[in-house]
Amino acid sequence: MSPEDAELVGLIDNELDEDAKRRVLMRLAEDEALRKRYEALRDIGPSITASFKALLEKAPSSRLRAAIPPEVAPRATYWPFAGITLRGLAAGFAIGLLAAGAAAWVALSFAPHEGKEDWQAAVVEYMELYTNETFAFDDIIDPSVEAKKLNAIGQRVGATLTPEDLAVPGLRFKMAQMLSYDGVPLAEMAYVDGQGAPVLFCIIANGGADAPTRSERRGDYSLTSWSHAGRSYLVVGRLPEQQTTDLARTLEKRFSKS
Amino acid sequence: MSVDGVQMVETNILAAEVLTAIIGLPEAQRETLVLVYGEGYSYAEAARALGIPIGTVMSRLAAARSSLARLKEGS
Repeated sequence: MSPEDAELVGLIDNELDEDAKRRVLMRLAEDEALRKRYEALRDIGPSITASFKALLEKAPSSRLRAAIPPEVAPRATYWPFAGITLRGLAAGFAIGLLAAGAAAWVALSFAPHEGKEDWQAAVVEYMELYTNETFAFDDIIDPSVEAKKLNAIGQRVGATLTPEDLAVPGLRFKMAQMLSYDGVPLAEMAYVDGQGAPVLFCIIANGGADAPTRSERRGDYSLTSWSHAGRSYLVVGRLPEQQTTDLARTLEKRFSKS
Repeated sequence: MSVDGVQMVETNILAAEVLTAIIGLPEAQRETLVLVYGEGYSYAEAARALGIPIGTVMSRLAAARSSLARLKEGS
């Protein structure tokens, strides 16, 4: 690297002040070797940009976001690629990803989140679309209609869903809907807390082996999951981990009967 | 394929090599590169984030670009 490379790169990135810019441009006009150097440094730029873009387009966004340590606060959206941003992933994590020789990438791509737990990542990703306004207008108007709807959804996942079993302290039940993950029925029950923030309780009839409750943090989200009688359950929300754990234990007691 | 198309394909092939090369850069260069070209930080923002002078941001980026440019020269 020549001492002039820094100024050439500053020119390429349009980061020089006017005086410095004029000075470098004058030197470039006079020095053919310097022009070639400038071109070499400039021409690698699109490949650098493309490499970061490719990295993000292939990124399992919810898993990556979930892998951000809670103490690393996400920054404002800046440079969108495929709906997510490196800045959104937090600088510390992005640097760590590369610094680890993409080991984190490989681990995240092939470790236990693949397969049966991937549906949880899909739920978290879906949930990222929700805001405190998402369920603002979904109040239950007719309890009998809602009960029928719950019954129908419950049948699809092989569980008995009633308003009584779904009522939990501190949250207001808003709606239930039928989803599908990889062709497997997935029931989603949506609640809001006192501020309107969504909390989801999901049941998927995935034939999973029984497993006790397990809590974890994925980015802003706390998740508590368990499996029973061929169904897997998940409570997820932007809540303290203890709160999703408590909610899950309450629901687990009720749904371990079905 | 048009000239632009050929260039795009070459850029994409090179991008994979570049990413590998970025991973192999010294940490100081790599983190500066990620902030500026990956995250879109200005030099001043990157300098603040890393606690270094803007001149150091420039020299790190120049060193990184210089290393990566050698890939293209060799391809």
